[in-house]
Amino acid sequence: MRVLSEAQPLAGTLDAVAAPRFEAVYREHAMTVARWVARLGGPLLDVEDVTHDVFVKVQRELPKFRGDAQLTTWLFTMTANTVRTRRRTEAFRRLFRAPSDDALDVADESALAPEQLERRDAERALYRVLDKLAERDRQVLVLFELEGRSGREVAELLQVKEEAVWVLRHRAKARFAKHMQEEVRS
Amino acid sequence: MTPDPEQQLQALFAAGDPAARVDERMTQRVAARLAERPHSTWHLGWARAVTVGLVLVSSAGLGAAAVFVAKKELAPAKAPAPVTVTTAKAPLAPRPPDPVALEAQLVREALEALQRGDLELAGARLDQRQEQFPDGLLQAEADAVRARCGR
Repeated sequence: MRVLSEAQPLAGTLDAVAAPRFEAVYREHAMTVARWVARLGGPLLDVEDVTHDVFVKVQRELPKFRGDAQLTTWLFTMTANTVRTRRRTEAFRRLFRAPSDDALDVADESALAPEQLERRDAERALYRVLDKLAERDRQVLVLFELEGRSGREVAELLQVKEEAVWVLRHRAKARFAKHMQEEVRS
Repeated sequence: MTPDPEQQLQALFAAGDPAARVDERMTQRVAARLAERPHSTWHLGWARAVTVGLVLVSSAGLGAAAVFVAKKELAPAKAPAPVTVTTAKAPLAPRPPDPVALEAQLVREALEALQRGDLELAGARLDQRQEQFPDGLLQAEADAVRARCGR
């Protein structure tokens, strides 16, 4: 892979950034990674920003990729790790958020169309429950329920046996339902 | 009739799928950013978080050191020094003050004063920060605290 050096001109295309291999990876997987970021991160993360960070890492790490795992598995692991770190830090940074910032969020929302508001409310309701789950439960539910992937695909992405993934799904759904009931009661 | 929990679950996931916000234009913008800045800018925010964390840890360390010194002064001359405290003090050797840590310390003190309801002290700390670090990294945090002070 050709890595951009400072001597190379910065054109406005991906060709300037890296070798065709990275470009091919980006073209083929950018949407998938962005969806993973959105679904694993939830409404609090800036999807575009985190997707950018994931591909910065991909660009850096791609030369080390030996093909021991599927490329999608490798990308998923990198995405999940990036999202997890960002979620933790975002939670920490929100400690410093003033109530006035929340007021600004509300002001932003007033510009949304009713259907966009409905969708945002639905997202928040879903992630209030998902946020209470352990990381692995969250990943399992995202891949099965939101992505609609098969057991085999989920097993590959999470690097576990296919039989185990069904057990993980069953337990994750049970815990989700329990937290959901608590959410409804509160 | 009670709705099927499985169907309820499916409906909730379908309605709240955040991937609806992802489109081709977003990936094109990311591609443009990669071409423009092939590195993460997130470290700036992360540096802030690390700084605040370091300040909290170092404050705790300084507190422990102060307690140790006070105990040592008050203790009888023959009393043996506790081994555990001695080992804990080793990494607390004085370091040159880090301007970012000092700035974070002022913001933290302002926030603590605000939480105690001491608006005067909070304001004084913020003014001090503004004077000493007019281009400081924690401007946004200081502004947030100031807004909460109503100043």
